[in-house]
Amino acid sequence: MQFPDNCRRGRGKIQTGARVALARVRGPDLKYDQHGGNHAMKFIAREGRDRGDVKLYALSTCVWCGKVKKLLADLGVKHEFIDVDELTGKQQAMIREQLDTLDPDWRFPCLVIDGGRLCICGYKEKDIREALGS
Amino acid sequence: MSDQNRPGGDITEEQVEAMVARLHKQAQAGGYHLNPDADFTRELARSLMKNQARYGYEACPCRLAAGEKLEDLDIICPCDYRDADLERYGACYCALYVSAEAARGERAVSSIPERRPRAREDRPQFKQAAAPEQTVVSSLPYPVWRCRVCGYLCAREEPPGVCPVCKAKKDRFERFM
Repeated sequence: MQFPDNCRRGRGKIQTGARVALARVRGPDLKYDQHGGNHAMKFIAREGRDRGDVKLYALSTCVWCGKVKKLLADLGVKHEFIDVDELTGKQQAMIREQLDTLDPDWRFPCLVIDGGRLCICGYKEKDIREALGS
Repeated sequence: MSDQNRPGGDITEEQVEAMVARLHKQAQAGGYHLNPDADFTRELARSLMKNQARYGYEACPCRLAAGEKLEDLDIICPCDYRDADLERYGACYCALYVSAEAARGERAVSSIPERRPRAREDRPQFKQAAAPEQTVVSSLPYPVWRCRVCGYLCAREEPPGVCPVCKAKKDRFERFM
């Protein structure tokens, strides 16, 4: 298994490396991340109708992001979201890496469906309703 | 961490109202318009205050700031892309500022494409303005400075501390001639 460069492989560290590598494979389920800052880097889950894997990359300060959060709640769709600006250091760097592959312009809100099968960036109500509405 | 302890978590409604009033006044003075949706504008004002508290400058609320001033210089509100987006889409990227038509409610405002160059070296603060021709420069009694936000030009030894049109700070000026 390849270990990330930023992970020392000394005693007791291999497990961390494996977890980080695993987190990378699995996607942003970073409860495995051991490089904690003050904010736990976790997507916040919202229950609802299952329309596949729905992840929202958002900014806490962005009003368009707020509108997408509200729309998802109104649609009652099961999803996870994360406020990227609330992350610090390595946690944010990891999310930036993920965003590079999803949308190199880093447009927020970035709604990712089924691991990138569909990416809807910006508050596009019609597109979101079409993709996730009943 | 509770909201109270987060940067900008202790911003009061009164402070937000004061910020909105300041933004309105500055916009009006420069011939700009804030989004007529009062709730929308209030939220963005609060976000700008939050960014001021955590970064030390009012980074665009709808873009991911690097947290280093030089890196973020082009996205400090008002951003270097605002005027072009107002022209093209009737709103800036976060829609704090809108065109006259949108302010009157004659044009709908929506989420727009990102104009900021993807590559760091293509961003205005890292891109050197084309070298002015030596002959022109030497014949001018003063250098000419250009505001990267609104295009205001002035001929003086140093750029002004604050742009008289759009209120951008001194570090947003570039040597034009």
